[in-house]
Amino acid sequence: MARAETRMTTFLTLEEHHFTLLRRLLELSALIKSTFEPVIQTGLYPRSQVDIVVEIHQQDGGVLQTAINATTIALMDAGVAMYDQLVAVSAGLHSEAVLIDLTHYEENDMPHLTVAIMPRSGKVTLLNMESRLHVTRFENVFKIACEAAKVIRKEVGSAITNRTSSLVEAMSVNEPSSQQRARNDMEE
Amino acid sequence: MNISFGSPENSSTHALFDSASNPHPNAPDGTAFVAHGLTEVTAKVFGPREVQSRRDAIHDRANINVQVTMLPFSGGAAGRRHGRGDK
Repeated sequence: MARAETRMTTFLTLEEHHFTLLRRLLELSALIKSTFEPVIQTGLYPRSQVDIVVEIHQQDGGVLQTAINATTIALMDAGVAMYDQLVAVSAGLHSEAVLIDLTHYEENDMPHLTVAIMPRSGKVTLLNMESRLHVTRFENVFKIACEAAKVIRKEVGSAITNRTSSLVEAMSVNEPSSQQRARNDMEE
Repeated sequence: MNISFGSPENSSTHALFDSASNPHPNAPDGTAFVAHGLTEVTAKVFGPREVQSRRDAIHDRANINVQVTMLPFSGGAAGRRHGRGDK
């Protein structure tokens, strides 16, 4: 059940593309919700809600992949229990070459897709393609996108580890034993 | 924003910009900023928390709500002409 609330002050100033923009935002909301439904351990939080607000500051293609990666890190930051750290990447095919992480112009120029996978199990929770790609070429693009997702997973992992270790250090300055215990916990 | 711990002769200073050190009542529980090249997106997570309206409550699991907004001048359709008010 996706509840999309729009800020009327923003949309009231638009004359053109009003409904297509609104529809696109609703679609992104629904895609992100269905992407994270199997990843968040919702069974641990009965009768609760998890609200995710995504703000697009700048866009040059790859909005969905960036939104999903940001949502993963924000969920980790909030301490929401998940089965894995979901990462997403966009990929496209330009004649024979597979391209990763497309810009806006590249997206307009070639068939492309966005994949979101749980790196540990390799399970895919989102595969979004809004253009036409021949089925014989699909597998190659998909495989390379999954490989690229592993690279992003490393970046996400190191960002979270750096953040957690600085928090741990800040909280346990005068307690060397608890600092060591916390470091041991983190290394597991 | 800096936080110092310990006595004056044995202290360390850490920079913390997060909801734990700035607990505004409506602050999100988790935030993240990710940039892929020129595409920049922030995500804010509130929760898990009690459902705001009884209708949305699911008895055995959490309800997930997602809202996506585009800031003006983000380069999408929202950045195009702002009508008569901007002459």
